[in-house]
Amino acid sequence: MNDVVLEVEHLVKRYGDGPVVVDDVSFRVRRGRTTALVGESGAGKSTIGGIVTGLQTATSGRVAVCGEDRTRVARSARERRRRGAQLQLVPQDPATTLDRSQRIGDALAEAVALGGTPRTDRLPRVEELATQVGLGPTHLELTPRSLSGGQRQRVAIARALATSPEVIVLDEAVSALDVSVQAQVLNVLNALQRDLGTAYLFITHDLAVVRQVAHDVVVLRHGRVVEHGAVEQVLGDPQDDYTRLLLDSTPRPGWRPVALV
Amino acid sequence: MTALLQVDDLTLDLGDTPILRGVSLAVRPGEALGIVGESGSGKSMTLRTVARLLPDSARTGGAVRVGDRDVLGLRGRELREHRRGLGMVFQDPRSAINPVHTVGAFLVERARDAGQDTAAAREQALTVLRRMGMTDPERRMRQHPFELSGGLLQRVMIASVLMERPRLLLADEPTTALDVTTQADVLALTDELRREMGAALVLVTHDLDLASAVCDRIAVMYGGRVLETAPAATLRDDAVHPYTRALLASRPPLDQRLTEIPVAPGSPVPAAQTGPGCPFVDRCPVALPICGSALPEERLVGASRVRCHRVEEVA
Repeated sequence: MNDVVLEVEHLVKRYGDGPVVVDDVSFRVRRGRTTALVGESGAGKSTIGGIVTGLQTATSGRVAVCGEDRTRVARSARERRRRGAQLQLVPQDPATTLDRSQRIGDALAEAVALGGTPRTDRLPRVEELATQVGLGPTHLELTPRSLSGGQRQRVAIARALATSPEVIVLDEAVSALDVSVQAQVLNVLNALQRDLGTAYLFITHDLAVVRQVAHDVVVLRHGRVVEHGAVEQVLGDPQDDYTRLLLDSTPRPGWRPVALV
Repeated sequence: MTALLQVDDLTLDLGDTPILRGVSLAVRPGEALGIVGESGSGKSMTLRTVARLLPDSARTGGAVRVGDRDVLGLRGRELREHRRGLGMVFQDPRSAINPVHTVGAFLVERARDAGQDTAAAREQALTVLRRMGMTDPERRMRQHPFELSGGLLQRVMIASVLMERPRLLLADEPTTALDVTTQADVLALTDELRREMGAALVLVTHDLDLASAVCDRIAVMYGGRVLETAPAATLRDDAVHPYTRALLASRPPLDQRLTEIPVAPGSPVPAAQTGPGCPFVDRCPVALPICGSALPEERLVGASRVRCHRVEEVA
């Protein structure tokens, strides 16, 4: 089973004595594949993303990246760097993580340097990354404010790719984009996965996006897994009432909204 | 039947920035029109112009009529009466409901404004809240907005608007911030009540499938212009304008994975970044040189009213 690049086992998150927001969640992400976490507000999907990326701690349970336990705090700067290189995050709004006054080319060069690329190879690597996400040399000269939302999200993906990670966590990464731009970014993500074999943990509330990117899907509700399996199975023949309700509530051609009771 | 809302060749500028160009729409009494578009298309500003909720720097041209009122020329008392006759629902109910009053006080005040006594207003509020899917309306009436989730508060907002029985309902992304199961519930209940009351609706949304589910006709906007207007039932199969087709194609299906989603390159542009021609010209797969220099008049193709030089080729 050495193709498992991310393993989450019996994950629990509870804030103090408050409610359990992630309740015994387990799933795996395999090399070159995509696992989607889907659910509504309060499902716990972003909390799981936060724990997996090390931005939050778990109450109990285990997170392993490429077989290495991540629930333990990194012992050295070197270990932190290695961990960062293996797993990267693309958030919903890249404006929150991009320096507004930094040229895109410099932001990417910085990420490439952190990934350990020798100085002389950095510029070609930056250009390669830009090409992979569909940005041209002119974009590298610009700052984030001169870019559209879709272009900024391409920059965030390029920066995540800079360290050649095994896994990228995408937390509602296409949710804020206009549909015509969202489609472009989904195509870029799928093409990158085919070419590079990067695995994705794809956090989203949108089942149509899940269908387009995911191989496996974990349906969450109130912190619990209600259904988990291959995407064709879960979306094509849902076994759980809540999964069915989510599907029935998702607008599509010919769709009619139905009242809950 | 004559139109309840008639928008003719509307232009809007905010300061020196063009926002809308040549927008024409009509809504008959009881009819539902969806205005669909992406960022910068002008869909929300069209709605705000109808309600005359525009900043001081706004300059308008063309005509907007609601009933026998010339909306663009209204002032003072007439303008207030015009707004009072409209039901308006926005994406964020928290910005439209006074946070220091209870939900009940808010609803009763709205109904009293419409001329009812307090007891009747209370009864009506409870009834409409129940119809909006609230299981314990008495308790909700005693609560303050901060105690209610976004979904519950939007139900309160819609209830308050429908209680006044407006002839025309204006809704701007009313369910976009809600979870999908709540969205479906709120849409279904609102749709039923609206039809019963015979109110007309203009629904602004980025979601074509959602608009098609509750509207009779769809107007597709891009770059401050209406590029196509068509019956909702046939839009998906019979869309004519290349932008409408691109928009339809870019939403991936739920039942299969595509190797690649068909896309138009580039991003949506606001009116300020468009030339004299079709605003979609730079992204259009079938554009000709003339498309960049002039936007053609609306033409009827099948059931669609469409502005495109290439209608013969693409239809």
